[in-house]
Amino acid sequence: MSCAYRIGVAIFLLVGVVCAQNAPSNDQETIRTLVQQVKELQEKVAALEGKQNPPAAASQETKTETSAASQPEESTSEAQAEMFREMHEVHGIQWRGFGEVNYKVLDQKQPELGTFGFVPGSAGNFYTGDFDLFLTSKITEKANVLAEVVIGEGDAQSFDVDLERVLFKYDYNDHFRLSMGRYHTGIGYYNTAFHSGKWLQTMADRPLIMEFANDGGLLPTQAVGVSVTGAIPSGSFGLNYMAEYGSSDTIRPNLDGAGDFTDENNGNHINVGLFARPRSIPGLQIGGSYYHDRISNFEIGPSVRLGQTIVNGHVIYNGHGIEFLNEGFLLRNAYENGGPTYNMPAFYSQFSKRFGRMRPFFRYQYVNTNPNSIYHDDVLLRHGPSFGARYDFTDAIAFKIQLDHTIRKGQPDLNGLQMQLAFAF
Amino acid sequence: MNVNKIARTIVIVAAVTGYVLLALGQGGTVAVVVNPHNTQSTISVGELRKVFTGEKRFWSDGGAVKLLTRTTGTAEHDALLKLIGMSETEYKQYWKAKVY
Repeated sequence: MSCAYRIGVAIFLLVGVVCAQNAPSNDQETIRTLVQQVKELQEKVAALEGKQNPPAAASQETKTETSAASQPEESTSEAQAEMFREMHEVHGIQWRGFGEVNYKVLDQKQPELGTFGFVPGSAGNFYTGDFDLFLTSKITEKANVLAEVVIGEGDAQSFDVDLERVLFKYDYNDHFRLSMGRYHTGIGYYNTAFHSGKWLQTMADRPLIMEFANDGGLLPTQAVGVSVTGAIPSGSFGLNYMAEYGSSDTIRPNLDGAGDFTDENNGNHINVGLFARPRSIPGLQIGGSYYHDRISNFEIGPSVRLGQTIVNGHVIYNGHGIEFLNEGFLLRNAYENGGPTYNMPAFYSQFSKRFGRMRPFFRYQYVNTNPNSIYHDDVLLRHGPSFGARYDFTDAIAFKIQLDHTIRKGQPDLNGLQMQLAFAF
Repeated sequence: MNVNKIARTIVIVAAVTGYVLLALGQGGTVAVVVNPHNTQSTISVGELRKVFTGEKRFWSDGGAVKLLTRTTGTAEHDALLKLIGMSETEYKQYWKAKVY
């Protein structure tokens, strides 16, 4: 264990004990007492630092700050802190993994897309879905690297590796945070709040409109480029902005299970967003985003271009055990040079409430694409409810059971049962 | 534990450079402890919430905020959870998502 970290924890513990046991009856005396005692502690710290070997101290300080800046350190025992460090930090790289084991069955009467290793058929089957490794490493006080490596199950228990995200991040201050690399686009809320680890999200799957494009989702959920986010000085409104410029290359499998893929051949996109987190209602977020790029219709010819615009509005509440997610989307494809325009709406609303370790959830989702849109003619109208519950056995192991009912235009309704064991390590 | 007292009873004392932590005084009063060289002498409940949810990562002088919290089950940790309106599990889950 680093000595500097030990010193920090020791100071904290001592301050806590002093405050709890010897605090005088009024604030002035409390301040005086605390200041005196902390001065004594500072002297002890200085004496201890003087005894340290300088090169080792420098190395240990870097290590300490890396973990402290990333997330709150718990001043538990030294043994626990040491265990935490050994489990999640290797040579300055902090890592965390997520895994899942699933069982799913559909009462499908017509082919449906299978993803994550699930094979639609007459019987249900087990699959492992995604195995996710999240890595982060601090380079300087303000610069760090983040990566998300996903080993995903495909057909016939084959696995492939996908570098979902790799970002060089530079946080100049709270008002200017720069990221460069491959990122999840900031279209709406869900795509940046929830990444690949299923354990992170309440339900067993993502809403269809927010599903990753390579798993059948409709939107350009990933891109390579530059992203800037930050807080806008706005007092109690708590405004934040987001701006992205990058290249998305969306290739999505069709949902009808025919095995076809749609390639949008995207040009560079611009995506801007604004959201507010009012101080008066902690947990509330209201915002929206505007995405625009140009896509090509290679079926007609490479020179045939469409403008793709995606507008999002969302109202989110997360607090006091309640999760209430509401997002609406308008996907607009407009042929250039006077061609047709297709407006395709979608929304989902998800509510869950924690009762101890149990969290029942409900979601209703709706997607309605135009049959003349060559990019989404496999989706058409799909809507319906999903409900179930999540049970957290521990802080890192969760079991979810979920029932889905999907009404599909021109096809029989689809009912599904999913069970998922999701874990973090 | 009266979390609302946090804003009124901010006690600034010396700690480790750049760190912020909650300490408990007599009668359940919560104190916020930061370095004496920190140029920010007061902090509102809203700002404190942003600090402990990772939304505010820098002090006004540009220095990075570094957090220390006491372990689960302590009064300081309970006060922290009340402040941010999350359970222990939710707070851990929140940070796992926030960091990565």
